[in-house]
Amino acid sequence: MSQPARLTCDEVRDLAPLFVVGALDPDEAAAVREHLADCALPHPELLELGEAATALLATVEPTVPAPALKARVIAAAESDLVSGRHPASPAAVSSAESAAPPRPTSMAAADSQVFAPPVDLAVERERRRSRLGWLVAAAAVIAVVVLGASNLALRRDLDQAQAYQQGVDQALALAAQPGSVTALLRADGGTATGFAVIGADGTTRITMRGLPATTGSQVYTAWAIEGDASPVAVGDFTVAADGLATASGTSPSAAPGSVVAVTLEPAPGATAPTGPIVASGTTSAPAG
Amino acid sequence: MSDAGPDRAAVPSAPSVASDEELVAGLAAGRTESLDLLYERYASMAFGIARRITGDDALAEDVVQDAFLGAWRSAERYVAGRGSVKTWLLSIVHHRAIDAIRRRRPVSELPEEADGARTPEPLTFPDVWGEVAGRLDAEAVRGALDGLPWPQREALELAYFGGLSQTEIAARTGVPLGTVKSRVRLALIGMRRGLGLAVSGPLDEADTEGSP
Repeated sequence: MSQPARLTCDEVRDLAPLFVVGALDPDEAAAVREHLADCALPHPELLELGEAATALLATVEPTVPAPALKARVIAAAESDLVSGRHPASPAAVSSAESAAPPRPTSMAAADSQVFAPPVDLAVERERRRSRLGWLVAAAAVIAVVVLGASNLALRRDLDQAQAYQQGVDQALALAAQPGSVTALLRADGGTATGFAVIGADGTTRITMRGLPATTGSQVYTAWAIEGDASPVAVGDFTVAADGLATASGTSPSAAPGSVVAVTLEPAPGATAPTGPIVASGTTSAPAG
Repeated sequence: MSDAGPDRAAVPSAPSVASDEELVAGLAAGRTESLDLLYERYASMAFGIARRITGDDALAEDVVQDAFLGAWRSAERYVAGRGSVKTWLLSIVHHRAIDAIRRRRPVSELPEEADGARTPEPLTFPDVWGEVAGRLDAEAVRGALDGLPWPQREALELAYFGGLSQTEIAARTGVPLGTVKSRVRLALIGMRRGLGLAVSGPLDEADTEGSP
């Protein structure tokens, strides 16, 4: 690791155009950032040139991505909450609070402050190895947290989180297969969220978060509804206090546009929904 | 308007009224519903940018996913005064896309590095440049771009959309490094002028093509 040379303000001004378009060599760019982090003087030229560069983004024609991409994004975000990769997830709060970088305290500081990487680069590299590579990273985070857990209750919570994570992994693996459709499951006014994946052969995997715990013989039942046809039961599952659930079953088909709904039923084995719908969503076509 | 009766009260109010800033606050708080709405708002622009840069739909999808997850994880670090949510988010997309094509290039084209010892320029950070860019009209920006002399526009686009370094641009266009630098500078100043934006004193100096 070579130490980048210290730059003067004039040198930074000179490098600014190439800096804002990302065309500097890595060492030079690092030196510019280092200067900006320390420099007491404003560098309005960076803002001016940077604005002109960013304006180019407006020239790009918007293009609607495949509907399944949204399911991938939301599913990955859900997984973050469980694995502790999101700062607001329970597992991350304690470590994130001490590790969070100080926020800028004045506009002058904010102007010269360069944003920190939003994502850890080492983990990021791992993630890039495959389209579902982020799962590897998430699993690694869980493993590390489990190793560090000294408290039995925490350990049990983590085991549950890990089971959920495995369910998410399986659902995403299914989503990556040709012919699979996905539905984001949302509650009307409730807190439950999740997603369902139906494979080409009807294999269905559901993961949900934020569900009220079941009691007694209560179960949640997942239903597949195609067009005007009657709902077909996919499977039952129970939920503990953590509100997490993964379930699997079989749907009649993997047609895009069918509805997946989850109801709360008084007992397992219902053949028609009787309880309230706690979450539902419509399946979208697979990517590509 | 026969359907505007009392039944309307049963319809939940449209969630899309949330401001971008409120959605980012939702991201920071771990609400995937907010991410859902932000995605609905900007996925098409994000995908358009990623596709323009990578020229590859599958890679562009990965970039968009990476970018939205990056925003999701770092939303608490979004600083409102530094730029609009739109600029912030699309800057992340841009950086991730450039990052992706640089990683994909043959190793021989990358600067020498020990494997894993140092990554290519970590463009995963977003330098966010004010909110002006987020409010600009696409036609106005295209007009400003069309107004640039071709060599300046070429240098600008090779860098910004092509992810080429100054050295690579020099090699590609057959001009010295100093010329690349001044072309990019003049292109950016020309963009500001074309958009009717102020150009401050220091940038205005030495307004020439630079030494050959």
